[in-house]
Amino acid sequence: MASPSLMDTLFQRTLDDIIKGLRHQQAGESAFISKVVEEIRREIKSTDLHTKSIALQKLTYLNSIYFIDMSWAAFHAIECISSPNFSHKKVGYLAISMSFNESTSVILLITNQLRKDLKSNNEFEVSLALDCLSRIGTADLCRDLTPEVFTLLSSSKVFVRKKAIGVVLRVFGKYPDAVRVCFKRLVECLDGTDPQIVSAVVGVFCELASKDPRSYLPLAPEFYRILVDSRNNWVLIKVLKIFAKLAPLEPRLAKRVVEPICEHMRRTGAKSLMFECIRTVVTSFTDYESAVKLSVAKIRDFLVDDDPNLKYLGLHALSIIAPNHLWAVLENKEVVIKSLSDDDPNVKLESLRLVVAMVSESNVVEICRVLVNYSLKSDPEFCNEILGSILSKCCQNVYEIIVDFDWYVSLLGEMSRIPHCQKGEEIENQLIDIGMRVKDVRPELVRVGRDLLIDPALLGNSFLHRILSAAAWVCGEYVEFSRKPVELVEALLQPRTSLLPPSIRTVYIQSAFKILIFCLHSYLLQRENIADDMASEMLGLKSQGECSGSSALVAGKAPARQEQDEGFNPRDSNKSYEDLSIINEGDVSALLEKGFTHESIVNLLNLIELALGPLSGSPDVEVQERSKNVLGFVDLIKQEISNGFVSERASKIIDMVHDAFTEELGPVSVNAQEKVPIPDGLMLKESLADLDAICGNVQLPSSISFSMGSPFGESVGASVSIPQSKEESEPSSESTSLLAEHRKRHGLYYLPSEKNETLANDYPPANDPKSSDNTNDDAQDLVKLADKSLLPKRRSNHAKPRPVVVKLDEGDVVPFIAKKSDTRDDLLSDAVRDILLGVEKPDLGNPSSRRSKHRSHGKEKSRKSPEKKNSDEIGDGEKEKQKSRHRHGRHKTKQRAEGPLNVAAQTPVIPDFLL
Amino acid sequence: MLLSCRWFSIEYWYLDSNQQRIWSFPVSKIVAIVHSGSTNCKKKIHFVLLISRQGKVRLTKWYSPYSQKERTKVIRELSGVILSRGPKLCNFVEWRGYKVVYKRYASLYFCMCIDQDDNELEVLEIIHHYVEILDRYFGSVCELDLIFNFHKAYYILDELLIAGELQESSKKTVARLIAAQDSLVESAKEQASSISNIIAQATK
Repeated sequence: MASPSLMDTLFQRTLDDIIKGLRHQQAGESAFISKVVEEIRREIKSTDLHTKSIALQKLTYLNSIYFIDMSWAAFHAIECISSPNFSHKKVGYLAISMSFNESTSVILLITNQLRKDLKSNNEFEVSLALDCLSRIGTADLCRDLTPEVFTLLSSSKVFVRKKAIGVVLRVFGKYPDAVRVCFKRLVECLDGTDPQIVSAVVGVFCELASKDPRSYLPLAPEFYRILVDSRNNWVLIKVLKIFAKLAPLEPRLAKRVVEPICEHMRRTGAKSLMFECIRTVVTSFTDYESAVKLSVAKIRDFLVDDDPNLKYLGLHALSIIAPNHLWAVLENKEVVIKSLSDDDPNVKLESLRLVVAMVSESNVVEICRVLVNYSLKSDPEFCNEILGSILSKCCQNVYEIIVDFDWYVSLLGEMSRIPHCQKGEEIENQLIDIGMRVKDVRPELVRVGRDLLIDPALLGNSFLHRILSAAAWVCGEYVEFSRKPVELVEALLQPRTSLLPPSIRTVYIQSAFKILIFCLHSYLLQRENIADDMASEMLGLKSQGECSGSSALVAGKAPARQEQDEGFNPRDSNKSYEDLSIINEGDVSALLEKGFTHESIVNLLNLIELALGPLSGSPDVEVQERSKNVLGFVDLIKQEISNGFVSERASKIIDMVHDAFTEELGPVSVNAQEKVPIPDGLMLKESLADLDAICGNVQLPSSISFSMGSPFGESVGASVSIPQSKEESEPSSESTSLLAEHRKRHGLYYLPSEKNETLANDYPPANDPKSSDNTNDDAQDLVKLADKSLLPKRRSNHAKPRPVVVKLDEGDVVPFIAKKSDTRDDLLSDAVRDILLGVEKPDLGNPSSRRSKHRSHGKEKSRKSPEKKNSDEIGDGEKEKQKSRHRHGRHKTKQRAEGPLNVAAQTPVIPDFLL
Repeated sequence: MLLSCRWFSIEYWYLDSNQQRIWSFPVSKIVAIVHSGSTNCKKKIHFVLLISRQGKVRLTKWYSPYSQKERTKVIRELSGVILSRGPKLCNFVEWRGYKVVYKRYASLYFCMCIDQDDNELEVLEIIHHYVEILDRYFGSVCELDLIFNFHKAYYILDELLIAGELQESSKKTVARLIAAQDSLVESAKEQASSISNIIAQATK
């Protein structure tokens, strides 16, 4: 590259030329820029500072607008700031503040120049240097220049002083030891009379206090004075921010401050100050009824304002206050619901949050109806927001707010059909979850599932596939509630299912299999019943005195048949069936509704064979295997029941497979683990004693008892880390049924003789409590539902001992989300427990009571318990506190102002004071 | 001892604000806290952007560290979001856990990025404040003024904000300061140009 010639200097393009040039280049902008950069590279090497500074200015422009790299020019920028000429300096400083960062190597060279400028007599040079330092200050720079900044903090020129105060923030951040030097002077500035200085200082403290408010409590009197005296809104807003942080730490302070804040709220016309007051009250002063009332009134003013900004902020403030004062939201119900149809997506989102916050057990039906209708009309994104918030609200705490599950299930079905719906996964989870938890809703669930499955249009929407999978599973699992099982099989095997991904097709195939088994089984039962009926009927006829001989024959035959266990003569019973239907049409018609004829069964088998035939060659192994299994089974059954004749072997097989499927799958409860009896001779505690020490902090002690819940060791691993109860027993039943099915399947081919044994073994003792649960289920179910709505959630989830609780909808099962939060609570309360060792000890043995305690922390935002703890803490003394200082801090931030807290809040402050 | 007394009698302090303040503050504590804090200080305003209606960038000022790549990405993302918003919507956008406050003046969008818990209305006022100062300085400012005087727009912004904090709330003061600096620059320039004239003439 040629060195800059005189020509370059003389005919250098100015910034204006470049800008004009760029504006005229429509197409070849980048070519023009690279040409200009080339020029700049030449010009910037000029010894003439004027040329250099213009080149640098051009480069700065290109960098800021077109993001051209300018790090290579760092040294030239330093040359410019060392010029005595103010305009060169200015250009140089601008370039530096735009382009320098921590990794710029030449930044070391700048220190002396900065120092020189900071000491300059020209206040504008000082201000340039300060601006620059505030932007690029590194730890080294800040350390080296702290004395200069300190001097400037007491500069006589307000203009310089306020900039120096602004820079302090950066200096503190980079070089904390500067606090020792500058802090005192900074605080003195708080007392100053110049409003600009006060404003700058308050700004600095506002930022500092947002990091760790506790340290600034001693300055509260100063801030208070500003709050009361100042009429400068900029300053007031910042002081309010500081108090929002301080007030929760010191209740007496809050009491003092709340009145002036209200005063400002009444007085001010400035919306920004008003909003800051409102926000301060709703975040930090929620215990002060009158202040809250006043701010809610002001929020209402915001809500009805035409300005969308105020409306948005009003809604935002409401959503901050909603958890503590729901009445505030309810009061403004109309506005909130109206803003649901606002043009602004932000406003819509806020109001959606509020609407959902208002949902309760009594209005869930109406609000959900409104929301779903509304989602139909809104754009896809918002539609899914709505659906998502409905789903998450409704499943909160195990469907706490849902009373009418039939309604909810049909709502889920309806939601699936909303064109924009992309919430497949959540709906899937809930459909299955509800199916397992709520027995009474299963008929409705199957109906909804059927409607979904049967609609071929839905198969084309990939967002719905997960829902369809759930529907298929539900229909297969609870097929006994279906009115037309055959119709379900047809739906499951319809040609368009080829659109489904393999993983979901496997569910379809498995469900079809379950339904088939059900059909076959009911067919068998039906024949048996009819045979019995006929027998008794004939008995009756004969008792009227016709042919006593034949009556004896039939009477003798029936018990025999029962003994044989379905092994009766099909032909005979077939015949009697026909006889019966002639004899007593009314009776049979009831049966026939659900009933199967031999023909219908054969049709069903043919249908399955036809549909699954091609799938046995599917490239997906799961699909292939399942369809092959089903086909094999169909093949076998077909042979056995040909000619309307069911062989003993077939009926036995059907019976056993059916048994395997009838084992009910349930959700897993928190206390499942405790139910699992420990087999004799299993030395759990001993072998895991070491582990206990390691895991003790993470897991509840009960988790020690994990291990072999079921003798099969099938379900052992899964639930180990989750200490909660039924976890174990239910999955084991699931897995045993799967196991049974698996064995059966293979047994059909390989080990037929073993089958009986398998079945007998299949039910481990672990299941006992549950099966007993299930018996008194039905009756209590509704009662539970009603009860649940009345009980506070904490109680219903934990207080009751598992065995009594029948089912899923109750504490039986804490949903996964809740479980997660449980563990998080554990971590937190773990820390707390450390502190409170003495207090909690008695509880240790009783996991349930402890858990409920944790629960309440999580939920209540530890309003009450910390209070207790704090007083304990004080008793515990300093050491304990030191040890857990950071936890302690975290814990503290949660506290609300409350009487007993005072002492605790202060104790850490005072000793530090003395330092 | 004195200190703890003072603490417990906080009411007393509130009542009598003329009380001489006895200096004593847990400086070492604050040092420790600032130490423990992250190295980059919390900023009130993270960055300032001026974007034209066509999506062209007119000014960028970054108070928080962003790499060149991030900057381009931020601008692309934000201009997409903001330019597509209709005229009667609110001036706030939630973005990546921050709030971006923007306001449109003629063909220019002024955007400032702040934390979630900052006061949106205050920032709107800062933006308006900035625009008023620009207006006063350029005499009914238009986009072209900012295009051709981008450095001046920066200097004015620097007078308004320091380290992402509003530091000068008086429009008059800012105008006065900028004018004073301008005259300094002008006189420096005159000097320079006369010298270069001399050189030019000498080398003729």
